[in-house]
Amino acid sequence: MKSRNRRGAAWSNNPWLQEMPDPITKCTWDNYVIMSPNRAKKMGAELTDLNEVDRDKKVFSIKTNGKEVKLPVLVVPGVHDDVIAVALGYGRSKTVGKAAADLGVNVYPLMGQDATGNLSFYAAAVDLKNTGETYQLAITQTHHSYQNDRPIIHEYSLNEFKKDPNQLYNKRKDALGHYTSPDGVVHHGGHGDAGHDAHGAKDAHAAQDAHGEAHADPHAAAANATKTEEDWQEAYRKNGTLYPNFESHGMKWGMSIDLNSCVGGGSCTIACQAENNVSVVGKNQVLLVHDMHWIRIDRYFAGDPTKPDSIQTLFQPMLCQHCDNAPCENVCPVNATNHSSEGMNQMAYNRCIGTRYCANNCPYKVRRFNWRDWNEADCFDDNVYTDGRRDDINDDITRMVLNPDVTVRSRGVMEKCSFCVQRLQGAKATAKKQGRLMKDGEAKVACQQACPTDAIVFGNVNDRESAIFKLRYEDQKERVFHVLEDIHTLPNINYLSKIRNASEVMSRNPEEASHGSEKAHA
Amino acid sequence: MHLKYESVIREALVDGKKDYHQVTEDICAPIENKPTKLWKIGFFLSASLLLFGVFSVGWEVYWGTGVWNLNRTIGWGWDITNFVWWVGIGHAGTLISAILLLFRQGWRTGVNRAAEAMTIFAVMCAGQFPIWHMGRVWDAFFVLPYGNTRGPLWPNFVSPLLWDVFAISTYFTVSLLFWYSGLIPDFATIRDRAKTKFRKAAYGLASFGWAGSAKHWQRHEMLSLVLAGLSTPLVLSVHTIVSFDFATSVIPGWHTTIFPPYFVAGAVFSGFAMVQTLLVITRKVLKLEDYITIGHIEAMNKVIVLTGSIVGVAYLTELFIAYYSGVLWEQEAFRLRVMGPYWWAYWAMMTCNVVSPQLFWFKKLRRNIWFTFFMSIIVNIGMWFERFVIIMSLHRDYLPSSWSYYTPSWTEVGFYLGSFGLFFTCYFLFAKYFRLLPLRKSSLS
Ligand code: SF4
Ligand code: SF4
Repeated sequence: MKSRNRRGAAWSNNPWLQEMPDPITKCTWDNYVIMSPNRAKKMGAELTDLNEVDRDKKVFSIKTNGKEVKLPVLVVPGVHDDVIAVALGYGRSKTVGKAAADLGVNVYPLMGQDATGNLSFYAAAVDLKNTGETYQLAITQTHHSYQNDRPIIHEYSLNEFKKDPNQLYNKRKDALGHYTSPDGVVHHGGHGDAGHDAHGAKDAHAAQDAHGEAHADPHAAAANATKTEEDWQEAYRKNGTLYPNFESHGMKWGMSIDLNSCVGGGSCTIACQAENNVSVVGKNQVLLVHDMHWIRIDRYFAGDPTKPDSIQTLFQPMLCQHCDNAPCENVCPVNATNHSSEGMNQMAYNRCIGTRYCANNCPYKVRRFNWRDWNEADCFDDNVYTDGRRDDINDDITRMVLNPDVTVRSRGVMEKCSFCVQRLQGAKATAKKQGRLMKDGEAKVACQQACPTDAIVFGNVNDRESAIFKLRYEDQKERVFHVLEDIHTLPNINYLSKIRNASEVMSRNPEEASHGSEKAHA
Repeated sequence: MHLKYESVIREALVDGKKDYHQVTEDICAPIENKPTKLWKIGFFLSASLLLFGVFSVGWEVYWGTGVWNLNRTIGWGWDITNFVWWVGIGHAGTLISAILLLFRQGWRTGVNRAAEAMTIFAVMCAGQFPIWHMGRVWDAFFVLPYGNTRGPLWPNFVSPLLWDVFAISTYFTVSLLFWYSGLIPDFATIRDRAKTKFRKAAYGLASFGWAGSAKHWQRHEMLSLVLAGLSTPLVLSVHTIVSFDFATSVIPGWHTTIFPPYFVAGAVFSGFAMVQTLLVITRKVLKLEDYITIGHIEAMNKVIVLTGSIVGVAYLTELFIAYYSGVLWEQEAFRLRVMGPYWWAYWAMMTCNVVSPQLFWFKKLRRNIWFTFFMSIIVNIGMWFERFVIIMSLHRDYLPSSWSYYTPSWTEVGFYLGSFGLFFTCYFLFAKYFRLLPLRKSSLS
């Protein structure tokens, strides 16, 4: 039995937390029993590619210590075949408040006592039965395997990384390094000098080439954008598209997310929700996949689901990538989503007519639509969405939680991560009032601030002295990658590859490590 | 060398050995007599459907798009499927009347008026979907490039949705003109035969003072040719632009250069099928079997088997290109189309669109009314699935974390049924108060 970030239900009446997907199961608003794929298959609750989207989960009866509870089952790879787990803190009485009243099932009765009289959080003899009933669970992520060949996450074992730290860098360069001319045709191979370039930033020659004299005066650098990317990246940026390239002078916001540090806890999600007035939608709407979180944590499993020991878990925080060549922007018929001069993709809620075309065309699927009137913020009376559980968030007291710097969105408009633009503007304004340039680290985004492991680094990438610049182009440059780089969205968010302290990395095709170099220049 | 070409004797355009007077009588009959019982039932049913549709849409506008089951991954579902489907159906009307007019195909007279009306009504139905699918429909006018005090702030001219706005509205305007100009001489005839004052005035107004002089006829012919010449390329451009909604995106399964021709062929295919459905019913209900002959029907079936095969080749090409491109996203998208959670939609599309029209190679089946009717329905189901399959490329795109699934809610189904209501209500009114068969063409031929 486990109790997750609710201190055994002390905060269970907080709708934010109820709607926060569990880090592993991605389930909201309920408790359930988890078991391994092998056991589920044996007991008639198998999860397949075709039924994973099915919300109806099999209900199992669990008997131990002379008590019985019935809980829906979620199949989670990596669980030992002979172990099942349930979460405490549910099934509370009405007095706790609207959000948690009678939600889920109270499993405290199942707990026995150990020899010293303490409550025992496990029981050895459990009678488990498939009741044949079903129950709907609101899960925000239904597909769990990160498919090996999808270049979404890059991961290396520590040994691999030590042997050749530039593996990822070279792989990217092989794939994208041939856009050296506007026609995008391969004119010469980039592979031969990959090693050299890889050390570029530490290499005096490259540093001078790429960074010029900017080191002398960081403020000048912040004011005049200079080339920050290396030549092949710059070439890809310009030549990978038919359209003109827009340079961001002055500020250019960027974020780096370290997949090594991310523990998948999700405090970024809640921080963002608090900062940006992101709506809680309630279980029934999560069932319809209408969840609103601007930053979510994608959780993937790699390995063989039938072998619990082989399972490795990957977390990938996913938010708007603020693409410089944003697919969402050009499809909006009314220009409601557009690019700021500081490299951000921004939403003009007033202008949005809600065609949802942008959300369809976002490869990262981070755009969130206001399907219903969540917050009494539209021009119709009495059409606010109520479900009996989330209703408290619209009472006068609870509305005090809303951030006055951020618009409460009406129904029918699109929204998504704004890079906490209100904070950025605030930081700039403060600096301006004091008659100075903004310093690195003065503008912090909420998710960055909340991250307990500092996985998120944020700042102005045009500033050579900024933490983000150093991280991305100098210190960690071998580990940098962008998600879906090959479709030329030019994200302003980069990720740092995961280096796993394990002998084998399950998320990768075995042959991939070796074939990176051969296929590049056919 | 032959200096003289002797044309083969073709089937008579009008069966039953009618003289001109009889033709006029027959064709005017539905308008001048009291509505038949069948008409009343049909009209009542369609109007009820229409009302149900209005209710569903009203419900959606009031409560928000969330009453549809679309989600954060699948932003379009039945709404845009139905939009493309109706636009496709609309095309056949224009194609039939315009292209056949340009090529001076006599048999068009049997079908073209119904076809033109169908175009107008289908485009009207199609237009409902992109309008009401908006989250804030009261701001829909933002898409129009009107002068304003906001900057001025223009719409986004690179958005395919904006191109849609222009393409569809142009198409609607031209089709309306084409259809209406064809009706003018007929209105005049009804006016001349009118027995009540009101009738005379109403049809007189509608016929713009048509006197049937040689000059009028000459101008009329000229106008018809010009409009036909205009609307023919429009058929191609409209569906090409509709296909751009998908082709210019980055979503695997959408981002395909094959879409424009594929969509146009599909539009002709489904459009012809829809004309067939309507004709078979109409000739029965209004007893026009002698004018809409089995020969007409067979000719249209030939077009159906041709365009069906083109569409089939397009489907196979897509699969081949996905495999041959070596692009992972493409391959995955098509693997999932064929074998993913929406496999049933893919195979429904394949069966209805590619396999079943091949039966029209048999002359016997081509000339069988019941079989034709059945097939016309099948083809339209298939073409609906085609659009659905394409749009559902969304359900599993780049990041597996966001994969999702979608089934419509009652409001979405209600909206679709409502569009049928709109279509048939218009059609019944048209059949009663306007004219299904152009008088003059049948009289002249
Ligand atoms: S991640 Fe999506 S929403 Fe954000 S800029 Fe890119 S395409 Fe647009
Ligand atoms: S940058 Fe701000 S808006 Fe974007 S995900 Fe982080 S907290 Fe949310």
